[in-house]
Amino acid sequence: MINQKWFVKNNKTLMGVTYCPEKIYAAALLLPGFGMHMCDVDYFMSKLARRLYAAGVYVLLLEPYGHGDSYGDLQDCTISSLIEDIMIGVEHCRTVSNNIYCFSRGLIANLLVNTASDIKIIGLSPVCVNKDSISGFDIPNDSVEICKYIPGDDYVAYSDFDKDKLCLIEMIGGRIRHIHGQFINPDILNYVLTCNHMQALREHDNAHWIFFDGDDGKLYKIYSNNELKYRELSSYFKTAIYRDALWQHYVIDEIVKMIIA
Amino acid sequence: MQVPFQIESSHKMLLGILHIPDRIPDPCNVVVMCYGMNGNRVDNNRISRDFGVACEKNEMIFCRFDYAGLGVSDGEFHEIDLLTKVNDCIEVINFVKGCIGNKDIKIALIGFSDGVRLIANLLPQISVDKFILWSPLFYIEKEYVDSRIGKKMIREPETGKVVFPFKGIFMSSKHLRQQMNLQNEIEIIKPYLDSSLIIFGDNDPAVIKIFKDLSTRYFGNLENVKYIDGADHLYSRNQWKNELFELSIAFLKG
Repeated sequence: MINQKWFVKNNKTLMGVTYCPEKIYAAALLLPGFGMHMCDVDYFMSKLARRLYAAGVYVLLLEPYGHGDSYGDLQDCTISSLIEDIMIGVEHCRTVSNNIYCFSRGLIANLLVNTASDIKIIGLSPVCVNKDSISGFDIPNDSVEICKYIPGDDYVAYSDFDKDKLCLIEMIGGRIRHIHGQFINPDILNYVLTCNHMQALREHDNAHWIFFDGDDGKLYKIYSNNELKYRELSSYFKTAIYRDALWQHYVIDEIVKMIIA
Repeated sequence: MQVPFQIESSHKMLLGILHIPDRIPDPCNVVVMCYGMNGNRVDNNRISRDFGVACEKNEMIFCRFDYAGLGVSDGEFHEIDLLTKVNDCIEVINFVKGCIGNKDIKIALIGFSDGVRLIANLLPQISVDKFILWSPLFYIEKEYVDSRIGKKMIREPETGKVVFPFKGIFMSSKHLRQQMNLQNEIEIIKPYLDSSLIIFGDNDPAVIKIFKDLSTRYFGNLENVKYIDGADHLYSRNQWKNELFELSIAFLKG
């Protein structure tokens, strides 16, 4: 059974869609990429939610503050508000099952490591670059419209965009055309540009990370914490979430297998 | 006030949001969003959600929902086509009318991009007072199809159905044919254009060209067409979005 409801906590009102099977094997919290609606690029999260639901997993698709149907503006979305929202989702999942998985992509996948150690994490293309390699980016003092931080109009060939900044947006889970007219809080950029991401990702023992991998015939690879290695910023371009229907299908297959194994 | 709703349409659950103002005037405008091919009820830069908030402030009811197979509603994209979307719209409009009961309401539709084709298919079936077309796209000329999109049909792994992989989604061959070929939408929409407002971003050359060609051949000189300086197909700047909203709200209130 599919249902949508408001989650009201800490003066915030978030929109969630739940999928409740008759027999619940596990619960999964799904969060979209930064700045995206809960269904995410090419409805990736909705497709994943339906497949998990069919496999007997209770699913909560949750929209963070300032995202999609949730209240608030993206410019007021900070690292601490995102972590708070993850906790709201986890708290709800605990009422359903003791066997809980969290899945997200980009920056929000990184923040899943703040959950308790019994929570199992799966992240798609988390931020995993050496901070020294992205130290040249400016951090604005105030919230800035993303089209002013990353100017450009050519959404097909991206010929007039700063390529590195475009990669930065894709790395945190956004799609430039989806969020170009919204404002980003400097707290988000400050975190992305100054955090030791490798160390942070390894803080959670129960985590698996999926990356696009051109060397592998499947075009993706699953990494445990000790297999993680820094990636180039440019490697996120168009592959942070690969817009290929078969690739998305097989990655979803893999995530479902990891959860119902 | 934003009220989530869900209704069944052809055995699929449709999920939507109703924006309801604090005071509902009599008569009341009820605006329903018909977005384009692979959008969702929030859409890029939250344009649909933000327009809902603007409608609330202007004492109009606004309804946005996901068609089956799109966004967060039930179903897979390869199970749907243009006509299932039209049926979904009819179900939702009847639902909203039922909610409002005997109040005097005026139904207005917004067709975003190729949502114009949904409106053309809806007009003979339901009573609509007015409609707005945002960047109307009747069909896609082959020369403008993104060359990176593959052209091969493949089998959808779960069902074995022959489908067209369009970016990250599978599209049925029927849906693909509908997207590439106009039916009789031009003839249908023509007599209704007097009660419409048509808005383009002026930096949307391919779509404007297609519309101007059609206009020259079928519609004649239309006076209800507005252009927003510099704006692209999806109004991807706060300023363009605000101008789009101002024009649309003024037309709906007028």
